[in-house]
This record gives sequence, C-alpha cells and structure tokens, in this order.
Amino acid sequence: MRIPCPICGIRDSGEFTYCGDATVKYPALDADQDAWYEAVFERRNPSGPHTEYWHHTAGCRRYIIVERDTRTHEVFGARLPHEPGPDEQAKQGKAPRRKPSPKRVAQTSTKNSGNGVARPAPKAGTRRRPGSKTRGGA
Amino acid sequence: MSSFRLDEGGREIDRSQRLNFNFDGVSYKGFAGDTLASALLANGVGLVGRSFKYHRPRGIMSAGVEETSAMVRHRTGAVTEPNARATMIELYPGLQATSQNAFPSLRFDLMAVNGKLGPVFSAGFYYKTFMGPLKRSWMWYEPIIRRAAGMGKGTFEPDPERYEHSYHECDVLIAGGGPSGLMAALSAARSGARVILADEHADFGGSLRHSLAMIGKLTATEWVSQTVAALSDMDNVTLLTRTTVHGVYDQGIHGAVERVTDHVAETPDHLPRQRHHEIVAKQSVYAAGALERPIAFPGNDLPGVMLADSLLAHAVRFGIAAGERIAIFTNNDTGWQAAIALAEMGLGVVAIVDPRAEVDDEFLLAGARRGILCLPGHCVRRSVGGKAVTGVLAAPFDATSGTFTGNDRTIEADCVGVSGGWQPTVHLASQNGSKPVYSADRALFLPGEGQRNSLCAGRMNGVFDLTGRLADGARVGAAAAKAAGFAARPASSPKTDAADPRLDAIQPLFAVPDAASGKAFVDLQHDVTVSDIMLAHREGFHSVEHLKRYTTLGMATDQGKTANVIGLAVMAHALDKPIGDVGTTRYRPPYTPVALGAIAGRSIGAHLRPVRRTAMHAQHIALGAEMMNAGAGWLRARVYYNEPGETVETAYVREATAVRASVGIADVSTLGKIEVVGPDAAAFLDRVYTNLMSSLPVGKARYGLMLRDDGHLFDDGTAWRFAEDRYMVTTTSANAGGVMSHLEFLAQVVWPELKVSLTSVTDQWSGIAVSGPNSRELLQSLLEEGDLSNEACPFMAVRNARLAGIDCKVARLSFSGELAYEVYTARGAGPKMWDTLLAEGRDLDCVPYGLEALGALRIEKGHVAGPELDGRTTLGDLGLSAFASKKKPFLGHVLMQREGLTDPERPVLVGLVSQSQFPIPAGAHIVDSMDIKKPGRSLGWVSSVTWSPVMEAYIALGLLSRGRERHGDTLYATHPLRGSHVPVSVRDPVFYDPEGEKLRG
Repeated sequence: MRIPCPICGIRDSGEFTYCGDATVKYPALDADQDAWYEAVFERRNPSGPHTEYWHHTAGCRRYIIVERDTRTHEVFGARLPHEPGPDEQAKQGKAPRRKPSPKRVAQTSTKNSGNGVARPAPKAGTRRRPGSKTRGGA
Repeated sequence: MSSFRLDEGGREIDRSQRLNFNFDGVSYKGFAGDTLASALLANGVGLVGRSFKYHRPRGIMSAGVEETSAMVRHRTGAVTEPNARATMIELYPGLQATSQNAFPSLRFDLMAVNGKLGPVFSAGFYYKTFMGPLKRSWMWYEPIIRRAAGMGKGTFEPDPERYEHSYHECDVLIAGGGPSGLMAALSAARSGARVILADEHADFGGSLRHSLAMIGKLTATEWVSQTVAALSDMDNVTLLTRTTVHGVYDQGIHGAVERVTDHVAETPDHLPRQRHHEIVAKQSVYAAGALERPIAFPGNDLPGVMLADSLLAHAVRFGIAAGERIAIFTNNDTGWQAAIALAEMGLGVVAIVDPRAEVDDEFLLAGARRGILCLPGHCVRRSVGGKAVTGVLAAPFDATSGTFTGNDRTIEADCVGVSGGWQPTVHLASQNGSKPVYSADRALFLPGEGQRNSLCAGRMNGVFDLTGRLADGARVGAAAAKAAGFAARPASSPKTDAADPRLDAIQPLFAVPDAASGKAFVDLQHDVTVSDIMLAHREGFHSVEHLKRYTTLGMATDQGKTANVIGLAVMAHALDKPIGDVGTTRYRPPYTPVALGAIAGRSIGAHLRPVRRTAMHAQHIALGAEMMNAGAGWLRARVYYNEPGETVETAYVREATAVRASVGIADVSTLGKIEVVGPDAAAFLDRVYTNLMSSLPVGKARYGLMLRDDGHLFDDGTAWRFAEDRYMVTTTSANAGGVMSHLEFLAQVVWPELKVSLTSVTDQWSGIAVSGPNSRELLQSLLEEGDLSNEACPFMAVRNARLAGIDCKVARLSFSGELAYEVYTARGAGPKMWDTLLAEGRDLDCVPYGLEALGALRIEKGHVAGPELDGRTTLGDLGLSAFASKKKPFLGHVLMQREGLTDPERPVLVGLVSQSQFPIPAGAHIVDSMDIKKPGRSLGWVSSVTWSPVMEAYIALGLLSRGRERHGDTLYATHPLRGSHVPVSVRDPVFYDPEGEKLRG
C-alpha cells in the first residue's frame, strides 16, 4: 500500500504507523468519564471508506489524516490534521476530494445498516472493559 | 509406462551436454535443457511419488506450472525444498531429488492401505474426527495422522540462502511472455512506456515453445527470439524470466518472485537464490495464457495419464515419447491436433476416444491415414493398470443423455493423453477484482468486469487461434500504454499457419458417467475425488467456497489450476444448475508457492531491525562485558567478567556490592531523551505527566509518570528544566520511540494550540551513571571549578559542569538508592569520559556495572521499571498515588478513576523475601497453598527477582492482591512449569534505605 503524505509525497506504507480512527475527538482533560470512555473505547470499525490517522514515523514524523477504504485499501487522499476534510470542503462549496463510486456507496450503506455503526453510545455507569492500548502504544 | 527419448528432436535440449542427476538414490543421465520431469521420462521413470492421502502411485501429468502430481523434494540438507514440481525444475549437474509421501519406499508403500480405507478418509475427514464418537480419539489419532498425512517434508535447518527485494515503478507490467504478451510488450514499448515483461519460465515464448506453427516466414522459435531481441534492444523494457507474477495486492501493486539461481547446482556468492519484485504499475496486462483441463475418470491418476498438450510439449521441447502406445481421450479439437502432431513426429498414437459423435472428417481421415483407431461417440469408462496405466476401457457414449450405450472395449496403452478443454489462467484478473464469467459454448471461465487498471490479452480474453492471439496482444499492449498516458498504436502482427483450435466445438465433459463408482480424481494433489464432491453435496456444502474448504479442493499449490472448474462442474451437475450459476471460488495470491525467505528478504536475524550501540560499546567489550539486547535494538552490558570463572550471578553480585561499598559507573546512554521546547513547554508537560512540571525550578529535575488515555501507567522518567521554556525529558530505553510518537500526537493533533516543539535527542548524548557513596569524591576530583557539595548540588539538581576538560551536564539522580549522579556529555565524548572516570576511580575501586547489577540495586531500592510498568498497572498499584496531582487535570486521570482501576482487590506492589535458599522464580504466581500440586487461586505475581547482597537473600518485587495488608505474611511463589514452589515473606517493597538518607546525603 502507498500513502500520499502531504509533506513527503507518495511513500510506501511501511514508513507509516497506523494510529486509528481520526473521527474520534479528544475530550477536554477534565471532561466526564463518559466522554473519555467513548473517545478511548468506542470505535465504528466501518467496512468501506474510513478516516484515519497515520504517523509518518520513518519520514517527516507528521500525523496525517488518510481517507482509505478498509476493504480495498484504496486511498482517496491525505491531509494534515486541522485542514478541512472532504465533508467540510463540500460545505464550503469546494469539490470533495473523495468521489466514491455509486457501487461502493451502496455496498457501504448496506453493510453499515447491519453493522450498528450509528448505534447510540452505551449508558454510563458501571461499565468495565479491559483497558485497550491507546494510540501511543506501550 | 515406458517413456523414452526419441532419437532426434527436442528443440530445447543440448544432446552434446550430458548431465548426471539423482532421483531416489538412483543415478540417471539427462541433457542440458531438460526439466527434471522430462529427464525422468527419458529414463523411463514413470512412478515419481505417492499421493497425499491414499498413497496411490503418481507420475508426471503435465509439462508446466499446473503439475499437481509429480511433486518432489528438491535438493538436500538445509536447502531442501519440498513439494517442488518436477516439471518446473530445470536440470543441472548433480541435481538431487526424492519422492514424497512414500513409506517405506516408493515402490512398496505401506500407507497405500489408506486407499482401501477410502470411505474413512473421505471429504471432511478431519472435521469429522473432531465431532461425535471420534472426538475423544483425536489425541490418539493425531500423531498417526500427522505422520501419515501432510505434503512433502521440509527441513528444520535454517535457510542458508540469500534473498533480495527489488522495487519497480513502470507504466505497463505484462505478466506472461507468450505470443500475446510479447506482442503487447512490443506495442507498449514502442510508445516509449516503461515496460516490464515477466515470464515464469526460463525462456519467453509460452505455448510457442512447443508450437509447430510458422509465424510469417519464421518458425515459432525464430519469431520468439527475434521479438525478444527487439525488446531487449529497447532501454525502456525490462525483461524478467523465471519470474512469476504471483499476486495483485493493495492498490494494484504486483508481487513477483524471480528464481535467480534455482536452476544451478550452487548459488554463486554474488547472487541471491531468489529475488522478490514489488512492482507498482500504472497499467498491467495479464497474458497468462490457458491451462488444459483434465477429465475425471476412475483411475485417472495412474502414472502415464497426462494432459494431451503436455505430450506434445515433451516431444517438441525435449524429444520425449511419453509412451510407446499413446491413447488420446479428448472432448475437443485440440486433442486431435495434438494426437496428429505426435503421430507425425513418429510417436505411437494408437487410439483417439472422443465423446462427440460428430468429429471433423479432416481429423478422422488424418487419424485413419496414420493407423489410429478413431472412436468418436465413445467415452473412457476407467483406466486399467496398477503402478502405471496399461490401458483404458472405452464404451459407446450418448452425449445428449450423458450415458454409456454399449459394451466396453479395452484399448491397450501405456500413456493416455487427456484433453477436457482449456481454462484461461484467470488468477491475476480475479485477484485484481474481476469475477470469472462462464462461457458455456466453449466450456471455460473468462475474466469478468471489475479489474482495476489492467487488461487481459490473448487466451485470457478467450482468443485461442494463434493469429488472433498475436493481434489481440498487439491491441491490448497499445491500449494499456494509452491508458498509462502514451500515444501508442498496436504493433503490426504477423499471420500464422496454425490451425484454429475451435473451442466452440467442445463437448463439455468434466467427469465421465459413473465416475463416483471408482476413484476419479478431481484434485490429484489433495486426493479429492468425484465421490468426495458428491459427499460434500449430500452433506449440504453446496457453495463453492464451502466445497473448497470441506474437501480441500484446489487448495495449496494447485490454487485451482486444474481442479477448480472440474470440481464446481461436478457440484453444478449434482445441484442440477448451470455451471455459471455455481461460480468459482475467489482466486487468491500467490499463484504459485512463494518461499517465505523471498518474502522476508534481507530482514532476517540481526538485519530484522537496526542494532544500536552506544558510544562506549568498545569500552564495554574491552572490559569483558556480555552484551545483551535491551529493547529498541539497544545492546547493553549485562555484566562485566573481570575474573576467571565468574558467572553472571557472581559478577552482578560483585558489581552491586562494589557500588554500595564505594562507586561504580554504568552506561545509561540508551535512556530515551526528548527535548520539549517552547513557550508552552511547561503547560504541555503538565498535561502529559501526572505530577506538576511547571513548578519545577530551572536547574532541577523531577521524577514523573505518564499515563495512557485509559488510565494505566505508560512510562516513567525524569524531566529536567534547562530554562523557562526548555525541558529535557527522559524515558525508559525500550519505550523511547513510543513515548516520542505519543507526545507528537498530542502536540500535533490534540493540542495544536500549544506552542511546543519536540525533538528526540537520545542519540545526541552519552550518559554515564556514577553511583555509590564515593561518587561525589570521584566527580569532585575531576571537576575543574565549582563544587558538588549537598548545598551546591542537592538531590535532583542539574548543573552544567566541566569534568576533565569535557563539557557536560551533571544531574544528581539515583536509580540505585545511593548518592549518585548522571553525567551527560556529547555523544562522541562519552568514551573519553568513561575512560577518565574508570582511571580516576581506580583508587576508589570504581567498577563498571551492567544491567544485572543495575536491576539488583533498583529492586533493593523498590524502584519500579519495565516489569512493573507492564501496561496493566496503575499509579495506585505501584504505590505512586502521591504523583497524581490534584492541582490540574492530566491525561488519563479521568479513566484512572474507573471502578476497575480503583478496586481494593487489585494487586499492589510488595517486596518478597525468599524464606529458603532457593531463588524466587521470575514470573511465578503468588499463592497461599503449601502444595505445589494444588496451588489454588493466584493472588498475584512476581515481577522482578534478584539476589540481594544487602539482604543476603533472594528477593523480589511482585504485585499482590491486598498486598499492603499482607506485609509480614508468608506466601508461596509457585512456578509449576519449572517445578518450583518457594516460600516468601511479604514486606514493603523498599528493602534498602527506606528513609532515603543515602541518596540525599
């Protein structure tokens, strides 16, 4: 797989480290436990287009946001964090970077509907889950 | 079977070069240019292996990559390659190969009794042994099955060969160098596109290598060499032979493996055995040709039953007659064409059996003229023979009803050439996303829609006549170059005199009627028969994907080359559905087996990742250090042997004792070091560390802990403040990269508003810990000005200093619990500083100490390290709750308060002292039972162990449930695997100087 680093150009994926779902927003440090629980443990795991962080570990060491299809590994584009993504660009009237084919959209939506992607956040309280690794790794 | 070498002919062999080779311990002779298969056939060796499950005798069934029967063990010793296809091994002097799956010998195989137990070993045999009454027997069966089953045996020795990786970008990649691939390469290359043409064989040409056709005014061989010469003259063309494009991967990147020296006796030093190519192509052309398909009939696996076209290939390329009396069983014209060509070359073709009632008069006439018994409207019922085929039974056949309509007649033959039609090699196209589509009129699957950035050419497009294949290749090559952005035109393609194979005249026949009455093999390699597929059908495994997994049809090296279509045709017949509705399984890479060594390339052993050495590495070696991998690639001194007969244990105890008694030095350069600089550096560190770092005065250091987002401990280290806006933080050696990435994520993504910059400076510094009561005296004696008194340089102070003419930073930090300092110099000055300290410290009996002593000292002091910071522990677990600042939020503090992480039952850090003369086993569980056989519930575990010179006992740190309430208790450290069960007393984890007077003194 190859990833178009916005700083370095197209590079082999071996130079990068996958760092998880980029749609997850970090809560404030003093946010409540539910917000942190959701940010750390809840993931959509979509089959299809996905927005994710990659770290150019063996390159410029920038974290970048990559739009990638998790089934085909097709990469639609990459940008630096805090640059507007395809959705924001569309809102601002610019052409979106990602143009999913009709077929892919159809497949994704059927997959997702059975996948509980839009499922509501679980209730707060006595949840206990085994701690999973964060993106920093240990 | 009595195959032999013809007196003349064989366009690829050199009869002037005789080569010796050895098969199953017997010496034979072949010619340069032979394959192992053709050389064995030349020597009349028909029986070359036993089958996988039933141990039936097996011979050679093809002349190429589709060989699924003649699998041999190639070479010996460490370079042994199991399951090598005899048809793909090029002969070289001294070649050694042995047959597989035979016990005790190939000719007399005891395991052939499995053949009589057929019903027991039917499809799904393995799965069934896991269920029902046989379930409990699995423990008993397993060793026997493991011995009996399995493909050929490899070797347990490490592979001594070298493998390389090679990376390419090109405009057009062409897989397959037959007629259409060569024409495609010509068209694409003439447009200026960068072209890579790869073919799995030793020479280009594909099917032209045994074609008798004239191309224009040239023979097929002449045309191939002329075309290849034209291509190799072009700078933009890379030609790769013996190179199999084995797979299409993410984003259309192609993997190819080049067998660089598999065809020579010994790999020369300057060459690798194989080279793995990763090819990024803008466009690719799959010109992989087609494979002839067998027909399943009982006994179709006997040595001597071969593919019809492969008989021609062996005759034309190697001058081989695969038998004295050859019978042909074909359901299409190509079988007739091969038979007549063989007869014209003087081979003894005795009969042609064809289920079609209507066969072209031209063929019948040509057959009759050569005295061949032509039997249109007939079908083979089964083969005759024991260890080799001696004939076939054929009977009149009605193609419409698919039944036999008359009595059998015996045809005596020692070789049967079978042609059940042709199947384009759709593997790469399928991997690239197209679903094969069935073409009923020609009984074959063609690549469907959905390929990305690639085209098919020639027979893969369903074009079977030679003139058409050349033209199709030319057209597709130009189209691919055009798609890659070049102005390309199809190269002009020559006319040929080759006959049209007229595949639309085929009578689809995949298995003969009543094939399930005997062992009619669909997949020879896995011994999958027609009746296995019928069984799978009866048991409900109807989907082809289930069928494949249940019967192992087309798995492993076959990858559906010959077996797939027959298998699904039999299933379709059982389901009474059209073949196209049943569909094929998804083809997956690799097309042919790829050695793991080729995938690993040079990333093996010490080359797996960089070895990191500190600047003082040579010093350690000179001092007799045993170096060990200490994580993140670092080599560190474990102990220094300075007396004869010292062991690791005696050496570290000596070193640790010397440190406590006077002074010792240790190389701590490997500690991770990150400079955190900027107006918001203090604010950044406050968010990252659990304790306050903004309140740290300039010129001081502070111990700090980081949590992960989920509230578990992540890493520990110290933060040194050099200036208001400049810190250096240290990390554990093994975790330095992880901490750096984590901090970068926070700075770049989470808090971009903080003005802070991070730089890894681990490799820029050399660090030496100077520890022990005399450490101040030693450093003071080297200090050019100032002093290191407790007032001038108190505990945790960081000072710039000049020691023996070397600029350095001296930080008063202690990991050992003694009065201690860390001296940091520029990396290159490290060795001089090290030597100076040792020389100056001679009078003080200064010793170098390694990781073992470092560990012993920190365990005595109750300091936590990697074994305690194992990703499962919290601040509270390790008694570090005081480091959780209440004045500010920090990363991880919210989830740190989760119920499960504050449970009073959680194991917490304790000290353990062995109550016996035995060491406490590392990794042991802590239990309260005296009985090793009934240890009971685990109360915790032992994390770090050592002999303590201070306590004069084996001691340990461990994590024990309700540990603080158990101080004074006696429990047991149990390690049933090692048979050790040691009584331990529980105590506070700080064994040495709990008041901290020494390190502050």
